[in-house]
Amino acid sequence: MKLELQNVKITDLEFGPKMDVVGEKLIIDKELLREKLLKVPGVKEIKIDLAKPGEKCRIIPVKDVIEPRVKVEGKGKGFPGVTAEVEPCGDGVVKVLKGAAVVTIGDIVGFQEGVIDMWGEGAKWTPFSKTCNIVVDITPEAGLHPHEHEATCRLVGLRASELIGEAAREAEAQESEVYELEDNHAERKKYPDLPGVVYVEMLISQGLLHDGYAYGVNTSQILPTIIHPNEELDNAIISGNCVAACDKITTYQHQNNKVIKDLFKLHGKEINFLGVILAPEMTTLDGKLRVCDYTAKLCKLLGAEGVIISEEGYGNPDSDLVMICSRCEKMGMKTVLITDECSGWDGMSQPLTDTAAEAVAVISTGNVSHVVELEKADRVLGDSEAIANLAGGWAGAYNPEDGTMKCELNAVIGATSEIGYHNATVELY
Amino acid sequence: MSFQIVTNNPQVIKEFPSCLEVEGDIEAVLRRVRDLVYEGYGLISMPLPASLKLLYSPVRSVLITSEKQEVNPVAAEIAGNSVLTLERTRGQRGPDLRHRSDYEKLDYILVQQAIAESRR
Repeated sequence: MKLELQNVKITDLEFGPKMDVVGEKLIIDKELLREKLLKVPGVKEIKIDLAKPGEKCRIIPVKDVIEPRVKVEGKGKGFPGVTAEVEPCGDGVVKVLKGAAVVTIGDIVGFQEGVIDMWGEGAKWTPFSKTCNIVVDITPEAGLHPHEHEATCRLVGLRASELIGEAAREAEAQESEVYELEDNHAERKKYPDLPGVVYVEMLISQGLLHDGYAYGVNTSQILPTIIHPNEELDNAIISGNCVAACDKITTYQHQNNKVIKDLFKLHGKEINFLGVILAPEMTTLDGKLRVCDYTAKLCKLLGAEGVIISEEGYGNPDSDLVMICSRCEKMGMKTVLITDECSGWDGMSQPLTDTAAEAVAVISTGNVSHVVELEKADRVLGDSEAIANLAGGWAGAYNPEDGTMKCELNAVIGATSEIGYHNATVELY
Repeated sequence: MSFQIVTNNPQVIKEFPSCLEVEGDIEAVLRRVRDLVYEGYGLISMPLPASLKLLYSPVRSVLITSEKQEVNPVAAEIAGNSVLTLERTRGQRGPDLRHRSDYEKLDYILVQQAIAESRR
C-alpha cells in the first residue's frame, strides 16, 4: 500500500466567492458551505467564522477538529463508510490543505469544555492555535436525542472538511509525504534483521461522547483488529468523543497520527513496522480482559518483538493500558506505553489509576492537572456560557476584575494527546 | 449475566427500581462498590469513567453481579484504587452541580451501554 500526501501550504484565511487557494491563502465560500451543511439531517442552523493564529479569539466548546483534504487518486474518497461509499483507503494520492483545520462547535452536554485560544498562554497548549481555523457552529433541530445530536455534529464536521478540501484539488502542493508498506512477508524479507514492531492504538469505546469509529463502525462493536497504518492516515478513523478535551484524539490527530508517522521514519532503518492494531477500551471488566488478551495475541501472531501502546482518555482505560503491557511482556514482547498523567497541580501524585510491574518504559505526554491562566478574549466563537465551565471551580479560579481565569489543562483541546500530536514536551535536567 | 446497579443517579433509580441506591456523592458510590466487591460481588462495569470530566460528575452508576462469588483480587484492587484515585484527582475541585441533569442523563446512557456490553 502506498499513500502520497501532497501538502498545499495554508497560512491565511478569507471568505470569498468560491473555494480556492490563492498563494498561501485559503478562500472559503461561506454561502456554499452553509447551504450544503444545512442539508445534513438534524441541523437547524449553521454559523461559520474564521479564526487565525495570533487573534485574541477563543473557540469553545470544541466538538472535533478535522483536516480538510481531497483524494485525487485511488479508492476511498472522503470518509469511507460515513460520508462516502465503503471502500478500502490508504492507497493513492491525497491533497491536503496543510495549516487549515475545520473546528466544529456543538454543546451536546452542558459541561462540555474543549477550548482553543488562538493567542497568549492558552495558545501554547494546543496545536490548533497554529492552524487557520474554519469554525462551524452547529445548532441542532429541537428534540434530538443526544446520540442523534452527536452524530449530526460529527457528520457536519466531516462534510465541511470535504467541501473545503475541494479547494486543494487544483492547487499546487509545496511538499509531498509518501508512506509505503508492503505485506509482512515482503517487509520481513527486505529487513530480516530488524526487530518487528506493532503499534497498538487504544480508542475509547464506551458510549455517548466516548466513542471512536473505524470505517464508520463504532469501535465498541469490534474485537481488536489489524489495519494498515496508511488507512488511518487516509481518513479511516474518526473521533466521536468530546468529553476529555485534553486527551480525546481528534479526527485531525488520527489523520496525522504522530506515532504512525514516526514509526514510518524508523521503518527499514531501526525497526520493521508490522502494522497497527485498534484496541477498543470497553466499559466492562470482562470486555477489557477480552480485548487485552486478544490484542496481545494479535501482536504475537504478527511476530512483534516490540509493541508501542498509546492510550486514549484517563481513568478506566489506564487498566487496559497496563493489562495489554503485562500480557505482551509476559509473551516475550517489549513494550513502550504512551499516556498522559493526572498527577495533581504540583505534578507529584501517582499519575495513573492502575499500574503493572512490567510497565517500565512509559512516555508521558503531559500532566492534565497542570493549571494554566487564560486571559480574557476579545472575541468568543461558540457558547459564552461554556466559558463558565473553564474556570476551575475552586476559590480564586476566576478574577472578575480583569476576566482572567485559571483552569486545568484538561479543558484544552489536544493539550496532552496520547498519540503525540501536541505541543507539550519533556525536558531532561 | 445477572447484575445489579450501585447508583446515586435518580434517573437510573427510576428506570431500575431494584438497584442498590446510595445516598451521597460519587465517592459514596465508589466506596459502596469497593465494599461489595470485597464481600465477593463481581465487578461488571468499571468504577471509574474513561474521561476526566466525568470524575466531577455528582452521580455515578456501576454494575456488579447479583450473586456473591469468590473474591476476585483483580476486581478488588480496581475497586479499591478507584476510591483513592477519585480523591486524588478531584483535589480541591468539588462535583460540578451546575450541570447535574446532563451528568445524570449521560450516566444513564453509559449504564445502558454497559448493560448491552455485558450481555454480549
